[in-house]
Amino acid sequence: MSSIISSIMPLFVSSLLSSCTSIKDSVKLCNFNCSQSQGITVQAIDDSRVLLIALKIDAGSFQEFRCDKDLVLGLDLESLSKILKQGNNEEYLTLMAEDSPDNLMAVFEDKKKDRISEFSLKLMDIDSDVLTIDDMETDCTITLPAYEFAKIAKDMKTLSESLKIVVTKDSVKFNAEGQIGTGSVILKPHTDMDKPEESVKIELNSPVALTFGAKYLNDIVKATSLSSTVTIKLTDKSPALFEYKLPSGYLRYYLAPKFDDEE
Amino acid sequence: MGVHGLWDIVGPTARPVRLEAMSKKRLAVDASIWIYQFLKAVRDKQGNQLINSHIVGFFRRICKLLYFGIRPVFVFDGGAPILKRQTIVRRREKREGNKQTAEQMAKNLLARQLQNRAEQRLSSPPKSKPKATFKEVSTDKLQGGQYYEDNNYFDTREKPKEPAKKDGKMFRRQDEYDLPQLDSFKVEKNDQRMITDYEYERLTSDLQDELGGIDLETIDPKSADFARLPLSTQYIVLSHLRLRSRLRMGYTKQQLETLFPDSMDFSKFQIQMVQKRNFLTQRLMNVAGMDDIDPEVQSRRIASDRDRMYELKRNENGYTLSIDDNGQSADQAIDLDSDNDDEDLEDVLEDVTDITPSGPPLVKAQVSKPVRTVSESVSNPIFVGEVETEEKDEDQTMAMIQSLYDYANTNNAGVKQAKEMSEEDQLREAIERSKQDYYNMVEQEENEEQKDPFDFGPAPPLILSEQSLGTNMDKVTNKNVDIPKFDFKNSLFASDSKKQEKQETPIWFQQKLPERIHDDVSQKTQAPEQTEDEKAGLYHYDDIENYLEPEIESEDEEVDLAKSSSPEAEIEDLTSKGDEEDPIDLDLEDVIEERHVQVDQEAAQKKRVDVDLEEVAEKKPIDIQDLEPSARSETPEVSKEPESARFESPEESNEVPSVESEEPVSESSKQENQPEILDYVFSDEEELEQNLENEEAAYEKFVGDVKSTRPVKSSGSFWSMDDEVKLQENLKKQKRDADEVTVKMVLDVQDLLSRFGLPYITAPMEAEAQCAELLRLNLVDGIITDDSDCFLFGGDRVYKNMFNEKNFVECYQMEDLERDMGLNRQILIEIALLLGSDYTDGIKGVGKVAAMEILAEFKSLENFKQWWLKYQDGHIDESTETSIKRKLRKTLKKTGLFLTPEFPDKRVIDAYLHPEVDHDKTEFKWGYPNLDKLRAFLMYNVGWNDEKVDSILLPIIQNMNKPQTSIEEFFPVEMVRRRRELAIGQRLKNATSRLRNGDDSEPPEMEQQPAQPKKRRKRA
Repeated sequence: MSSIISSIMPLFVSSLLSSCTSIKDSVKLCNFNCSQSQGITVQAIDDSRVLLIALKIDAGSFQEFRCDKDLVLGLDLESLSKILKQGNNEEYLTLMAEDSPDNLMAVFEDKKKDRISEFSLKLMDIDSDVLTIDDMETDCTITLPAYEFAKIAKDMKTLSESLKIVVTKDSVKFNAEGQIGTGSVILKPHTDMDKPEESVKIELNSPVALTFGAKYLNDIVKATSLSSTVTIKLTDKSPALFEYKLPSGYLRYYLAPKFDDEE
Repeated sequence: MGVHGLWDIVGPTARPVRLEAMSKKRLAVDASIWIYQFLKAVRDKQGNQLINSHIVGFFRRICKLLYFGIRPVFVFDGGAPILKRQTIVRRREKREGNKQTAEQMAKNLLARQLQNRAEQRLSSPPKSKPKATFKEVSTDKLQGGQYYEDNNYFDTREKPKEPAKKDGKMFRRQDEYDLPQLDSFKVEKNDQRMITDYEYERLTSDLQDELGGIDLETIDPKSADFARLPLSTQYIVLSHLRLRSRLRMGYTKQQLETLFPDSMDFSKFQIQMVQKRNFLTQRLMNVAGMDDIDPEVQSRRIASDRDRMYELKRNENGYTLSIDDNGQSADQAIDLDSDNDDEDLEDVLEDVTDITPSGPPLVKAQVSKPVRTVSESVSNPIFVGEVETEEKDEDQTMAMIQSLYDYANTNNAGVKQAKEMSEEDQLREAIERSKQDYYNMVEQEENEEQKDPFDFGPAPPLILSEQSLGTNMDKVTNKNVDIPKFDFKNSLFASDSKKQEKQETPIWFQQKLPERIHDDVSQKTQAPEQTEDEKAGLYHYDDIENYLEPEIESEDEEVDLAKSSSPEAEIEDLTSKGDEEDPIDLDLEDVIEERHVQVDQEAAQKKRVDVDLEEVAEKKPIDIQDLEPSARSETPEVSKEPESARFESPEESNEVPSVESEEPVSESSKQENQPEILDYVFSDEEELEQNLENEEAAYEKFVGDVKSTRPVKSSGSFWSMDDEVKLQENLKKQKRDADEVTVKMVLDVQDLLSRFGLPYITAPMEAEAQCAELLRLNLVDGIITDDSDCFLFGGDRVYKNMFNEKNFVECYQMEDLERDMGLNRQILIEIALLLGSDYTDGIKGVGKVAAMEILAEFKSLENFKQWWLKYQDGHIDESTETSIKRKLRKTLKKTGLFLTPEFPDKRVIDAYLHPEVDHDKTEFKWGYPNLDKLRAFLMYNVGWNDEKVDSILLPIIQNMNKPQTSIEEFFPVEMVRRRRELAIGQRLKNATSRLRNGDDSEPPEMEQQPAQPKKRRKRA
């Protein structure tokens, strides 16, 4: 019987769980692609086709990862997170699926108490649109603390539906213009030696000004708990990339910009 | 709308799409039905059409589209293709009465018998087959105890079709007397009890025509097959059989002579025929549902027509009148919807088949119509000279013969009563009684007046003549007691004529009456018993006279009242109708005047009274009178002022002018009118309204979202806000325009669109076809329509329920239909042919599942037709029968399906494949909303102030200035679509899987294993 078995370290359960919830609001159903070389990859587009989510969990994240044959697991994220919540952080999680699976098995093991709980989740056939994403040349790359970005996104949304990000050589400006007024946050690059994750870094090839839908940014920042920092890659007239690094893998958001003027 | 039930079939393939995802898409909008939808479903609390609902509705929908960045192209309907118009007309006819034409029925009967035969053959083991031989019984061998009632003595050609199985079933001879035969049986050639051969020929040929050549004798009303026929068919057949059994027992004199050389046999034969008639009558009663007696319901026969009854049913407002006809249930009220101007009221009454729920207003309207027809017919210039008079003479002779014959029949009634306690005989008793009453009355009258020495007693009715007519009139004139209630005409002249001076010339009668008399006489000969019936009908109504007198006096007043009560707001066409009628009314009055004069002169000369004649004279009045009881005595006014009738209640014509009834009434008449005016037939209007309500709610939310940054003080629905108040004054005037989609409305909307900077086109014909064409030309990316026809025109990427749900729109793609359900355009068209669409009626009894099964089973309608035609011809190819086929055969047979060889109508297919569309490839351009122009437009048309307009439009325009791009614009998307398991029923699932698997002929036959040579062979 060829099957994939992936045991996940206890800590990782929580991160998987939160990644789950972070994309759940944008996407409900998505396909988990499993392969020996790539580990688990997920690609999903929200219904409005503005936000693309790419999740990658490398095989190295798992204690053991075996995938004899490439598999596609169609999962309802809501159901998946329900099941994942069944376990606690002390437990080991093992996910299993057969070659052409109908179900995904999830087994939680508490080694100390010799407690084993098993769940099976029905899989679905899900239409997915696969976007091929090239590694783009980016005009600028900004790295900042994840919580910082989350705060900005949340604050600015109260002002306007759009958030404009203007990057210059020595600063990044988040600007919102709404009916009731305007607001902006300006960050300057600095390096915190003690806490490198608190640093703000800007790498600039050319200045960029892009506008994004505030509500999408608010979806993105739900992944804040997964990583201490977020990397934003901006290119003029192209989607922005928001990346949260995972211990082994990443969660990436590609967000299509709004255009200020007519096309 | 579109193909019936198609949305249900394709429903599961719908993909939910977010409105946001549609931004930047160019979508063709089938706007043709929008206006109609708003018109139809947007009403205020009183159910009134709201003014300019189309503008508000379009405005809202446009805002929504623009907000989501959709770039719409609006497509309006041009004309309606002939096929569509035909279908609409047919459908309306169907709605007005499920009349099956005689021809159809005859074909059905034949087909059914063949089918039954085929089935019997199939079900019975082959060895027992030979039972179906028939005996040729030569007529001279027929003895009294041995004749076959049900056999066909006229037309032996028909015989082979009828298996002899019936022989045992028919009426058995009941009596045990075996009497010596007589050698011969003679009837004098001029025996007046017999109708002449000519007459018989004439009457029976009528019957034959009506039944489309099907031989009635071959029908066995007792058989189970017969019981399976639709009730209406049963009724027709039974009533014809019964009628026929009266016409000298259904046989010609010669036939009788040859059949019964022995007069005793003839007597027995007569008795049996009476039994048979009794049986038929009972069956007829059963079929018509008249056998259950309801104290609330009074049924009486219509005097002019023996086989029909009208029925008065008590309800809280008085009586509901209905005519029982052709199997229609008698508890439903009549709807007279014929604009039939025939001079013969009989025709009008025969058209009375449309049954609508009974309610006082309806009844009133209905009553008004026939009466109007009468008045028209009265005023029709049917003054025919010599020719008519000649014909009259002839008819008089016949009538005399006939009445004599009838009289003899009636006198036998006593004997018959002893044997058969059928309703008919009870009726007859009633007739006798009423006759008796009449005689008494006449006698009284005689005593009073000492004028006319006529003897009435048991003497047969006399021949009618002008003179006797005159006398009759005289009677009427002098003694209102007699027949004052017959109709307003008579009553009028009864009251008026007293004042008239006598003159000398009876010309008017000679010219005017012949035709009517003629009509009458021929009716009478057709229905020999009619005279008696008429009497029965006539003299029961003596009590009504009391009502009538006062009514007539107050009539003028009432008319005025009614007139003044008809509000200005009334529907246009009504008024015009009224206009048309004015001259007629005038004519009518003239005629009546004239008539009074003449009647009186006649009266002076008259010495004889004749019952028949009186009936003739009163013929039409009687018909009205029969209708009257429900509407009582206001019928006269109704006839004069048809539109006023709508405002009258059954019991009290004085209630009429109550103003509060104004709006509902005009509303209801509006609704009546709509189906005629509009091309769209919404089978699911309720759903539509529901949808619009949802949309309403969604819109509020939407507006809330849009204006999120402003304080929103929505005081409820937009529809009921200040706009309504402001336009209240206009409402009345506009209301009459509001019930149809006017050109002005379309122009309004187009004006609005141009102010929004949106492109629109008017299709040469159907908008949805044009939408499909735009898609084909790649001028748009999708189609917004609720019309499932679109797929048949080649539409793809159809978005439905665009405005119903908040976030998700249903998207249908041909690709999905084909992959998931195995449906392509060709199959969809064939489904339309089965289910019915704008272009075709479809097949009765075939639902969406059956349609899918048919197509899965037969692959094409052509094959289906071949199969059914074979069955129609009486063949069942056992070897190819599958369970689905068997089931199908059963259900379709129940509905009486009859296919013609032309069945899959090429015109329909062609209309879908090659619709008339505009092939212009010019790209559309989208502009910007012009805020100023929109403000002006909305201010002028719906009275919105700038603030209100701005609050909606500004956020949208802002949003348009910052369009959200989609991720797909940047990354190449590779669509991965899998076949989905659809949530559909098992039968549908089987059918779709077979359709999907397409042409590999034989689908896995699950329930059905018999090693059969497959159906290919059959088709080869």
